Amino acid sequence: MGDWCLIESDPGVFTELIRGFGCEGVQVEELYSLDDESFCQLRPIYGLIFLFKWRQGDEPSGTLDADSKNIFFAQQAISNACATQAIVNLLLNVHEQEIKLGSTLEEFRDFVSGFDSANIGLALSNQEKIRTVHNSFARPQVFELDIRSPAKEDNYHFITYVPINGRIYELDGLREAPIDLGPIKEGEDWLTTVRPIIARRIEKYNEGEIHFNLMAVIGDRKAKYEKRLAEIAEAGMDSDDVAQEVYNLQSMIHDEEEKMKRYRKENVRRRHNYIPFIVEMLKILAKEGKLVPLVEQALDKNAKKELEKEAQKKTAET
Amino acid sequence: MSVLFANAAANQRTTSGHLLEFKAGRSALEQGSTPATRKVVSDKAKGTIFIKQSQDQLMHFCWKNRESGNVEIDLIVFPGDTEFIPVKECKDGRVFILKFKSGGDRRIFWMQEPKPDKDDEICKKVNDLLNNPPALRSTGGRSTTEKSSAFGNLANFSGALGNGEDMGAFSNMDQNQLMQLLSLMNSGGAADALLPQLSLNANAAARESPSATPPPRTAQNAAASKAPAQAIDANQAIQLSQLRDILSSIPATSSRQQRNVVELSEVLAAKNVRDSALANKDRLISHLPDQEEKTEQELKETLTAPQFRQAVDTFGHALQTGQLGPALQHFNVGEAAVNAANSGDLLAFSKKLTEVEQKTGGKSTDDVNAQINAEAKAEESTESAIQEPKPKRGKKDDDDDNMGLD
Repeated sequence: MGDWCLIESDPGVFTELIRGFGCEGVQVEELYSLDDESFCQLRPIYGLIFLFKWRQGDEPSGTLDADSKNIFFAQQAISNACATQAIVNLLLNVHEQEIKLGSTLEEFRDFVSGFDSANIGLALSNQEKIRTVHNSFARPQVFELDIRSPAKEDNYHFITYVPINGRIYELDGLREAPIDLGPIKEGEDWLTTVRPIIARRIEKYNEGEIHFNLMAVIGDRKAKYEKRLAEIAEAGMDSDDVAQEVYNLQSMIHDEEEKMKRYRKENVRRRHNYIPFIVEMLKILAKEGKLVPLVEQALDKNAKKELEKEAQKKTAET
Repeated sequence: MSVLFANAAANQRTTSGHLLEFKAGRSALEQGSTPATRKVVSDKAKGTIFIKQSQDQLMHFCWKNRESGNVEIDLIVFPGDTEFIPVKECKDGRVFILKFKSGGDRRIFWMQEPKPDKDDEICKKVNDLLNNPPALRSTGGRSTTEKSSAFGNLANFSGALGNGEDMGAFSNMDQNQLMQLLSLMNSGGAADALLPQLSLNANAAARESPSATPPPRTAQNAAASKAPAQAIDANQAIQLSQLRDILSSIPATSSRQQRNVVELSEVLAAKNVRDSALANKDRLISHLPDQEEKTEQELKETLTAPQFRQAVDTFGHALQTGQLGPALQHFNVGEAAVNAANSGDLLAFSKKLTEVEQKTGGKSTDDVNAQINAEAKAEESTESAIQEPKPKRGKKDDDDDNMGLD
């Protein structure tokens, strides 16, 4: 089946992941709230990826639609691959002109046409090209006990919300089939219909802690702005308003370019093995006689914290 | 090296003989041929594993280097906290792993006894000794243990039990059970909450048989013990409160640590290291990732980049759980520093590294390698080679290592 590494759930990772698959015309942005304004800024939103702490025994929020012939659905075969699985489940259900899946994803889609969802999932986990791109976002694992905070990464699950043919579906790789969440209300944007569903879900998990992420797969913004600029240029319009719009568009294009540069930088850092740098840094501090005092300082701070905790516990008990 | 109570070091000087000794070497896990595999890499040094019990009844699992005579690993082990098991995946070596249940620490060793036929027996003996330490031998425990330490008080308490004084519910709770209680505390179990169950258990034992029942090993076992629910009578209540007082005076460690563990990213916080980094940027820039330009800007950004800080924390955790030794050997940090890393002692590691770095005059790893090669060549060609003074190996340093908590 091949090894799939754990990757971070971060819009930069997902955007580059999708581009790495060869898909063009989309990017991923993080949503920090469910209000209309946040959605507005990002429209058109092709699908949502919801990341949460998975608990056993949760009832599905809708009915399982096992007969769906025009829904692409891959069941999860490997847990480390779940980010890619959620993304593929989303992309292969979006039929927009602006989105070009690219040869890798198109070949995959054609290959599994007619398969049942379990076998699609298996086929995905065996997809060499896709797996290679996925793994290229993993951190170099140098130690056996690669202690990343287990609370952050274990048991986190991704599901996809996507509108298909006038209905909203929840695609959860751990379920047997897509979940039908109902029709999109007449004349309404699908996001308006899906918002309360997601809000309810967040409430279920909330318990005072925020352990979920919501990401939107949206159209490539730079492309959208450039298209608009081209429109303006072609129409030969010329006025203050237009000049303002052109200026805004150019500055937004610049922002998008900076953002993509930043994503790339971050991903390079993710892949980098920092051990030689760290050791050299430790040596430098050691030579300057700074290392021991810094370590002692940290140890003292820790010890103080422990004592404070103990003292608090005692006062709580009395 | 995992010294929970500072006074335990003092007790080591008056230990009885070793309870078990066998030839073994150290090993460690390194990355294997693919990202998901690991391989066991063994250190060639000839050594001995020995198990001893110090005056305060604590069991020590130690490893001594037979060539230098130095005891380089000295772990205090609480009953029920470890298991010593063969690593079956290693088909070509007689490899064993000492796993700690509290804290996740693991140490790997390979048998150096000439014949493998006693390996199983040795393994069994290790587990026996560590998990069922010999009980108090004399009731005169109170005269030799430190009065000032909380643990000493505990030993006194159990010593008093041994005298057969009427302590009610605790008369059947021997040193073993008290040690188990301590080990539960160490692993974060709420010892206070367990006391009623333990006393009830002991009470049930008193009614059933005169000898101590097998003590509960884990918090879950204690809770699940089938001791009947009874009202605790006044007599028992008094002894419970005495035990509680003693236990609460023992400094509790947080559940996942046997010692003070720090986040290395705090030590290497940007504000702490920025000046040194920039002053030595030539040494660092070559280790930066391949960005569009490997410049001072990237260096500055690296110090605060979350990816870097995560890598630093991972490194710090690996070092403090004794896994970093083998990897560090490739970086010319000096043998003493590698040993400190093997025992997970960050402070000792920092001290040893400082000694080495201040001696070699602050050269980069590449330069040091070049220097070593040059010196080796020089030694070959001349008779009077100037030797680098060897790092101190006297008792003083060993004590420093043991008192890592300071």
